[in-house]
Amino acid sequence: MTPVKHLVRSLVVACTFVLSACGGPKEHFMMTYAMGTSVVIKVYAEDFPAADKGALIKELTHLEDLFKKNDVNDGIVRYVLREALRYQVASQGAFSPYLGAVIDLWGFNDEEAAQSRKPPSDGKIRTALGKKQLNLYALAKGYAVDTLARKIERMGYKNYIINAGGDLIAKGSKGEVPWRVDVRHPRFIHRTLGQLKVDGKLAVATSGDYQNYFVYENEWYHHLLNAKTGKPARRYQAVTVIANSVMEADALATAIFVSDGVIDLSDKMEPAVMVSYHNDRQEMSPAFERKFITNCPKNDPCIARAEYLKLKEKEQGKK
Amino acid sequence: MTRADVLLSGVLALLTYGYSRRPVTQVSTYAEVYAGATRIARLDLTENGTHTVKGRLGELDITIKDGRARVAQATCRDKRCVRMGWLSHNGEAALCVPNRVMLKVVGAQEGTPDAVVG
Repeated sequence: MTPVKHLVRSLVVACTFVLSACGGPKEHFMMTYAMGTSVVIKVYAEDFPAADKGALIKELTHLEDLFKKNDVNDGIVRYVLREALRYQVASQGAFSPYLGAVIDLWGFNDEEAAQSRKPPSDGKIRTALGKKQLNLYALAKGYAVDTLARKIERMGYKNYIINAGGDLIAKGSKGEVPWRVDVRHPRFIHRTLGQLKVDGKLAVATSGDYQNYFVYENEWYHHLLNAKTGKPARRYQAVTVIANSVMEADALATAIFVSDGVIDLSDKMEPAVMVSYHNDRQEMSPAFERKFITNCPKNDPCIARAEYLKLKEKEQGKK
Repeated sequence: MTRADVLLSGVLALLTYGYSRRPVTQVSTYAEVYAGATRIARLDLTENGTHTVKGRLGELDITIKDGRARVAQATCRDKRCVRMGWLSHNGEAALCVPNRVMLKVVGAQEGTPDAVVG
């Protein structure tokens, strides 16, 4: 090849490089606030116009209203309730969609109110349990994410992430790079336990005792209530579930958390489940293990030793 | 200067321009938007534009311009985050407490997740 031909070829390559740098798909994002949490949507596409964002917010607002009213004459509410009742059976009654009055009593419907609360008396809890007031939020957020995913697909987007406070669906990829979804550590907000593999699609949800809680006299009270006692379940710090839909993941994560071990994980090959215990160790089903890239050394707490000891010291101090 | 030298200079100039405009976001500095403890967006400071986020009380507009970021408009009463003005250096932040939203400038990092669950 002559030097001139070589330069011409370099020029063509350089021009192609420059042209490819202009335009093309890129990452877009939007955020809104619904159902007590931030909802973030990321899309990898040429464009993500305001009209599409508006339509997604409208859908979310509609669903939020629906689950506030909880009108059982509505088809969607009836469907979600039917699903919730399946998990009530699976957890032998530890999970229930009828804890509305108990959640109100604890103040977990209002995060700010919960910060200044005391735990209610056993008598008041018993009265609230007796009211059997419908509350579908354990599944509603997951249902909303699934609905938004269907809508976003109808809009023609193939590569996206919808994350409603940890209830997440990821689809496709970010160009040639897969979406990266990490699982946070239940006690260190800036640490992660590892990454979840997004092989085309990932629907995942976590129930954690750190998501909505208050501390009273050194005791930690959180929003994941056992329906039999009306009090926070104590076996786990967090339960993460990967399932076919976010609603299923959401419901199962809550049901496993509040059941305090009634749902035997060894029976749960599918869907994929990981639990975090109070001794800072994780246990996961084989299905979860296949989708998870851990940050933790084997048989060791997934935190730096110094931080672990500091945490333990702090916990001992509280006792 | 020969014709080949001119062509070579042209190619180098184009490569430099192309590199500076490449769409890959691992360039220099980013603005990160947090809702509570959760990072909800990572904005490349080389891509000018306005982004709207919704906090607990209402919407905030975040403007990215010429390598800087600012909260341009917020629904909170005292508007301290708006008054923070432009942020451009690693670690600078504007916090909107009523909305629980924070805008923070950070240096580029490889392998940052797109979402964190939990």
